[in-house]
Amino acid sequence: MSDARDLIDDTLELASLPAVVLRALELLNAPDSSAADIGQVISEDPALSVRLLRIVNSSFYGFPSRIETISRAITIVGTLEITDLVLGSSAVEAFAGLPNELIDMQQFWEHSLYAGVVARVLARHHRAPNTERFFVSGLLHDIGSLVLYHQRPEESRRALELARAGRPLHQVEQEIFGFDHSDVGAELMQAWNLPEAFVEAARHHHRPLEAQEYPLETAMVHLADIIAAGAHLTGSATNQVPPLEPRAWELTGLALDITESVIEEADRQYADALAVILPSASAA
Amino acid sequence: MTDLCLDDLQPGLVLVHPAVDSKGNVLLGKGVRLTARHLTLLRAHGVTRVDAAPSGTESTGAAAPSVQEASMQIEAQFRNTNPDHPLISELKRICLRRRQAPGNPHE
Repeated sequence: MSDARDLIDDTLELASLPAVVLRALELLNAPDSSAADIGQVISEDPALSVRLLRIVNSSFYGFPSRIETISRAITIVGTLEITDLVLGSSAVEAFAGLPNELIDMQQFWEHSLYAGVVARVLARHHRAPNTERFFVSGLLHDIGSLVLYHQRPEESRRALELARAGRPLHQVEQEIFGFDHSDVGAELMQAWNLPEAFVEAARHHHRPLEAQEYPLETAMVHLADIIAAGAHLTGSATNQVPPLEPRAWELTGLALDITESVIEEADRQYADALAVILPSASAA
Repeated sequence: MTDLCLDDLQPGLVLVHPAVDSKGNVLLGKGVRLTARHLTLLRAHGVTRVDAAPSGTESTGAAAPSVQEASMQIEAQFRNTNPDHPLISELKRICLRRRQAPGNPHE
């Protein structure tokens, strides 16, 4: 996949994660670091701290009492969960300034956000630990598309046209580029040193049975992408629902009759998440 | 037809025209009966005015796409999926209902 990786080097200069996020990730992976160390690093970045406190105090979380400090947020929400949220919101920010004439960025992030919310709701039904990881995986699953739109605009335009005419986008991309947005997204995440669960879910979200280490996360993101493309108001960039891997739903062990309540719950959480996760949506 | 400021909107009003954001993206379709959640959603999208009227004053038949129109749109949208899988049939059924009654998915 050297070609997909080639695109990443140029992208890293344009869309990089802030140093504070990289430091927090490093600490998370360091065996001798504590939750307090991570809180300390996040607290040193006032803008990030404010954003994070806004998220955890929003109705998306619905904690009964106000969370005033990062250390309190870590105690209540959890170290892993907070680090994942820092990652997700920083990745959205990293791409905020990247120009792109091919698609409506707002629509892109709305589809991604809805997919993230659906993944979170599915994970809660499954009683999976750290449902925020599912949320952020869903939020970032298509991030490779943004790299493609920016680095290869002409070919991407052609891919989008073919996909809107009725073919699966990732298959058209494979023919044009020799790889697709899921490969590019995974390479970017790897270059950003994101946890392997994100990398794998992004890489295999159209072929979930190929996931080795995180089959459940990957299957949930695959399903969330399909449910979001079908049920959400603004739809995906191609207005097409991607092909379903028939065994992905079985892999989650969820009952089919929960689909409707999953979508209803996702609608509610989406309205709550929109203002805090995609602040540009409420800035107009 | 009434062009209303978002602050004057009440749940229960019906959209005479689609509600669009500043870029012209359709957020809610014509004929949607507004709920409190819709108003939050519109506000979050920075929408300031929409064209809405009390229920019953909108022209009948124009409120939502016909079953046939909606089914065709859904078939086109789902053409790359596996139509025999129960999740896809369930999703299509839900989508059809949401398109038919997009204003009150929880009612």
